[in-house]
Amino acid sequence: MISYLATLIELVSKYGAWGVLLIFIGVIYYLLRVILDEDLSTVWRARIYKAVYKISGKSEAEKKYIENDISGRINLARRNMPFGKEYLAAIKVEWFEGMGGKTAQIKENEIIVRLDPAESQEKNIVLLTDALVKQTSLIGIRHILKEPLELSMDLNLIKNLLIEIGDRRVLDWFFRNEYQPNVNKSEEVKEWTGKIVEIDEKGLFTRLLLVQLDDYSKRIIGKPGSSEMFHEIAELVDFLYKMSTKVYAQDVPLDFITQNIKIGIILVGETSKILFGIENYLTAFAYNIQKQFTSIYVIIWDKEFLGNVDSKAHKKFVEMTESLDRDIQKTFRVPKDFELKYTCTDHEGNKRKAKISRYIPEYVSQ
Amino acid sequence: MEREKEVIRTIYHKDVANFFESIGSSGELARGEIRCSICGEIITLNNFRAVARKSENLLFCCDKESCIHELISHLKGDKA
Repeated sequence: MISYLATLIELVSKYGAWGVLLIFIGVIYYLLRVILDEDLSTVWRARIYKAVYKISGKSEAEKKYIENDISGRINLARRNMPFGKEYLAAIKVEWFEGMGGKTAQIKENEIIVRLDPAESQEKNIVLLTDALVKQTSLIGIRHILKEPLELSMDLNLIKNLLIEIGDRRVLDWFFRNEYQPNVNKSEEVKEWTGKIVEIDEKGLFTRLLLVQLDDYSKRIIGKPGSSEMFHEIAELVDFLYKMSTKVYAQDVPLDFITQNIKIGIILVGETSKILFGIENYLTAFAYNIQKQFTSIYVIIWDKEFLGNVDSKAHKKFVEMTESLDRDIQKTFRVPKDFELKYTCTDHEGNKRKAKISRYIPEYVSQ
Repeated sequence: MEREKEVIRTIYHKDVANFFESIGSSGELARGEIRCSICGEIITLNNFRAVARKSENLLFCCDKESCIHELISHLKGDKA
């Protein structure tokens, strides 16, 4: 806050009236953004109601604060999550107003939660994030998953949403009361959580695993769950785990074929390889098409950040990866489903730029 | 365009008594006849955390973290 003020004072003292005008334009731009953005305006409404509640102590203001704060912060976080596709639903908090009603007011499978006072808002946020994740993620496959794997995926998704909210009190509360107790529940949960965390650290949890599981749920609609189905999913997690923990020059499987999942991965990680040309990668892509894979992912792990890299070679690396994308779309006429850029950490702890692109061949009926 | 929203209904902490009255269970609550469907503890105005409906039955839950976690997991919706 103080640094903001210092910047504003510096602007005015340096540029005089022009500085004031600049600040004015900035304020108008921000206000417009807030007005036009549903979630941002909800967060601002929450701040106003919080101030009113602190001054007046009125219950109505407290309710409005709790409701707007939870919805605004969770929905903003959800929007910023790197899902390949629209994944979690947005949340809407509604107060139960059932005076004089009957039990019929509670719908089948509905959960109604008592929230804590405004002073324990971190607890309320974790509680409703938990409910949101469990009600709107892994839809269509929860009946197949065994509890330890399901729990691990839920915990990781909740953790990511809370990290995105960016409030340390909320995260602390979650880790102390939910994450650790649940992870320590059994060796199996611990093991699956370890794998999911590794996959997530390489950026492949929300961008690949959840995308693929969503796809999977559509393929098995109407089929009763079976242990074979669970094994397919568990093997997919293992497959991604192996890839995420791959060390330099280690060979790991790059295609995954089961009855309901057929995916191929092209990994571009070694600068020396791609600098020789993209032909090998195009050949690998052709192989994936020939195998009739339903999704083909190209994952690029860029050279280390901040290292003493050869800038010329790095430029060439970026050019080659861009031409790979162009050539894939031109040669194979495969539409790109999405492309996401992100950063991750490799096994040596180096921060790396990364990019994942998903291609869905035309022979796949969506 | 209206986004798909998951509506989660909540009870204000000062309205718990009204809530039990509105669902017609205040008598049972006062007599200590409502128990947590997970751990079996008697539900009171102070330790009540959630209620859910499953197969026509109302399932109440106390405020232990493990119980509410279990209840939410039990209800997780397979909506496909």
